[in-house]
Amino acid sequence: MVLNVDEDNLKHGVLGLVIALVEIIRDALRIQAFKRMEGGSLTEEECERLGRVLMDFDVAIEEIKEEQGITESVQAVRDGLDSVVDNILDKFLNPERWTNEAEKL
Amino acid sequence: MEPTRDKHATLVDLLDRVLDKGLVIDADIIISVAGIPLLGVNLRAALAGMETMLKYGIMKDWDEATREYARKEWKKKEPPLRQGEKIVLRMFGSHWFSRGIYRSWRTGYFYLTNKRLLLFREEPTEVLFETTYERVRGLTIQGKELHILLKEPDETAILHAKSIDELKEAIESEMKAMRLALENVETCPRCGNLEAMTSLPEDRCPRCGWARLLKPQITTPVIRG
Repeated sequence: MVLNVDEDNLKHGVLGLVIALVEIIRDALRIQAFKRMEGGSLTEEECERLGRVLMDFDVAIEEIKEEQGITESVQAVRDGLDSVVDNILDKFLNPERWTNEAEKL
Repeated sequence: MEPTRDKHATLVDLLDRVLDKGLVIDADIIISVAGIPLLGVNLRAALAGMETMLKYGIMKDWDEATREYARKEWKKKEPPLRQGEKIVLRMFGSHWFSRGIYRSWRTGYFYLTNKRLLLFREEPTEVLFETTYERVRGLTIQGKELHILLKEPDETAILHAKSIDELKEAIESEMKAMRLALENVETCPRCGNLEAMTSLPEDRCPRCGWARLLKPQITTPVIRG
């Protein structure tokens, strides 16, 4: 197997992976942030501060992706991870379907 | 007819469910090579979203202490506002500062309120630029910069922001709400001097004498209060 690593695809690969992970963590934090805001344990000032900083973070990530031209690479990594998760969950929830498909082959 | 899942699960959905429910790990692990234990790990961990933690009564005091500390520290990072002053817009940007031999762009966040335009920097805390709307004679966009002609005292402010069109429109809209008049201003392409069109006796730049070419301009609206 020949792996051609050049400057460009290394950047897309490594940086794309890093930003994809950052985005996933950001999304998880954002959902938790909404839960806290709805939970009613935060003051109005805290909610505003939280929302503002999360928004600034969004803007910063979008700018990085645009500047480096890695928007598609990041999306590809995320789609790949999502399909792995989907496959695993499907195997857990529909074990009969998978054994049937395996037997067909 | 078989039931089908048409919604595909994503990694974020999975993380969200795990954090919502909470995860407890209680593990004793030995990593060995050729049957000889080489690494030992005793792992006890509880991982969950903060709402879930609080629901179980874990970390409640620490949560409150952290937020209390943050409230005090972050108070310093907000620009000081006057009575009845409300923030309308917040945008990343910079101001061209020139005093003596020191000349540079100073960056911060623009805070457009119902009374003033501020450029505020958090670290170190400083108001880099400030003006009330009453001082604004006119605004013009020159390339990627916003030039503002100010009076009392007379000066020109040169600003740059993430979205200068949005900033300019927001300033014009606040001034319109306060019924303040805006003049047509123009920057001389040769010397950079900013002048109000109405105060020019002839069609020349008062500083360098460059003759203005008459061409249709996108000008700021002239609003008579």
